Amino acid sequence: MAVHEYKCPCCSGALAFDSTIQKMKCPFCDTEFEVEALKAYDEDLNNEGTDKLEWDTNAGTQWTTDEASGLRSYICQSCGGEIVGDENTAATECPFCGNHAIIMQQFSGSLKPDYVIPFKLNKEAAKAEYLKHLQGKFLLPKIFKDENHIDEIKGIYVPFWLFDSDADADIRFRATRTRSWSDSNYNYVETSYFSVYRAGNVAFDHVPVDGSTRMPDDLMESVEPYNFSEAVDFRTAYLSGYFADKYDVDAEQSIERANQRIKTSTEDAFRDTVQGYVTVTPEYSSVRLHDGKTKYAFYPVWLLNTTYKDEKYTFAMNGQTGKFVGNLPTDKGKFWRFAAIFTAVAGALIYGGMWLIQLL
Amino acid sequence: MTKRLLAALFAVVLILSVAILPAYAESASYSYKLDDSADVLSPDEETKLLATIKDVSEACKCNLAFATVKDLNGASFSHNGTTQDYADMYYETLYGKNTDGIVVLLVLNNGKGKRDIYISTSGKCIKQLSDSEREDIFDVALDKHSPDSKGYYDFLNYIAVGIKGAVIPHVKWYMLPLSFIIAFVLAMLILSFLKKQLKSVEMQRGAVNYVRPGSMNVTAARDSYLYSTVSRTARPKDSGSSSHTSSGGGSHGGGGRSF
Repeated sequence: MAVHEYKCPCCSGALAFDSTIQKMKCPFCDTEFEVEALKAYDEDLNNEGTDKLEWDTNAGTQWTTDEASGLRSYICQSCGGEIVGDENTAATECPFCGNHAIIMQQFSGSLKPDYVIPFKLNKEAAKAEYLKHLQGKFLLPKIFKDENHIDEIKGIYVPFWLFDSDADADIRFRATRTRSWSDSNYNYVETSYFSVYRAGNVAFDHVPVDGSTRMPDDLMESVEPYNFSEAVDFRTAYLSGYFADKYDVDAEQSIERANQRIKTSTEDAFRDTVQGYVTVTPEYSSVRLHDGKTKYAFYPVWLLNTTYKDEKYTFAMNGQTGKFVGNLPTDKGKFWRFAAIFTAVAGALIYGGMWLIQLL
Repeated sequence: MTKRLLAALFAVVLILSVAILPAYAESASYSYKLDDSADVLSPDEETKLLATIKDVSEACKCNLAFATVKDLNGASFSHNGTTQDYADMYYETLYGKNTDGIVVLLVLNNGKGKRDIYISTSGKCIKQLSDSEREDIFDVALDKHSPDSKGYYDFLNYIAVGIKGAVIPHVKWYMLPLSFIIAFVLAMLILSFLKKQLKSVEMQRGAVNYVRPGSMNVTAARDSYLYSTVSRTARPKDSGSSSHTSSGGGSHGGGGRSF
């Protein structure tokens, strides 16, 4: 099977994509290359890959049982070591020499992504954001902050399905308005009921849905939004130096989540046009999507893992905007200590305040 | 953390005691008086009632006078002829304008064939004896200690005891557990906010970040009125203290009942 790595045209070292300069850079001789400039070179390398395909296939036949169980093995182009990945691995690194390997086959035919948003933030930025993420959180166990041990930090291109669609909506709300007045004995409240109808359309661009089962959906939605205007046409060169999986949830399966999000936002958008009422409750809603288009894209995510009290905590950072997310553990002892001390102090203050009002 | 909280608690106790102690340390002298011109009490009852009045005056740290009159005529001071002004002027004649004190006046004939009971308050007592507390005292005194069945001693004695309960600074017993319940609820609110800081992973609600700018287009909008309903609730009664000015110019609170 074809494993691909970008060789430096100067020294034949393995190139990696450098997010700070947005170029390919050779870590050995520091030469920088434009991604576009490497395109021709890239094609040559693709040919080389085809030449070696036979040889690799022969090697692969010995692993048929592993392949059946979802394992794939590849030969590193630098050191000849064996790289073992699963059926979705698209970019990884050689465990022996650390060189970046891209498995071209994962991008053949309809598997080729349409767009990629290249990493803009590097590993150091991810570490810095992680430390910032732990700041200013009162209930975070002190030991979690002090130990502060990151088990693993990986830059991953996550496969996303992007949905474009126009939404037509017919929505009816029941709304109320109130007016109040009073005489010497009673307070009066008059509630007026209205039927409010809205129809119209709204368009959505590039609504992303996580296409990888390995990435938790909630974690991936939490690092949103991505700024699609910075997306570029897909080149495998961008993957060099990072990890990537191809999708294992297809577009059909992802549509449901996209629909749900588009419907909710359409209803919200029309709900916001209903002004001047005290309450607005939807009674009926019909959202129809048309001119829907689907695209396949790779979005950059930094993934960090840490362990605390035998439990694994996963954090994710948007590789484009730096938005950092990840749930943190609660210090239960601190929680109840605070509850007890606060209740005692504030309770005494409130009771003392009642006496003070009486006495002054 | 704990030390800082303890220090804060100590500071609060200190401030409270500094604020409260002078109130108890005040040593101004207050007078008390029982003037039974209508002669509704026996000498024994007068002695007993005077002792109660003395006790209430000392406990409440204010002047306290009880007076009974047959009618509103023949006063040694000028007044405008109403029970209210009679009581106010009676107080001002005894203790002066705007001093701290209370006068309880019983009029056997108010000129309309009825008896009047009136409490006039002055100075700090206007606030200390609220309208609702005064009405409660009248309610119980007229209901349980009615002068028709039990004579005037029980009636006036209850009013004195009632004034003591209302004027002495007091906080109802259930306020203590209630204070701590309120504090606990506050603690939980703060903690739920602090806990929310630890959670940053959740599904997006919609796709609001991906709406194409300017693509929103409302093609039809109709707001039709359907119907109205009106509900009414009784207004809560005012719980403060009302006040007025006497014909002598002093500020007084209080009120009375005819029976």
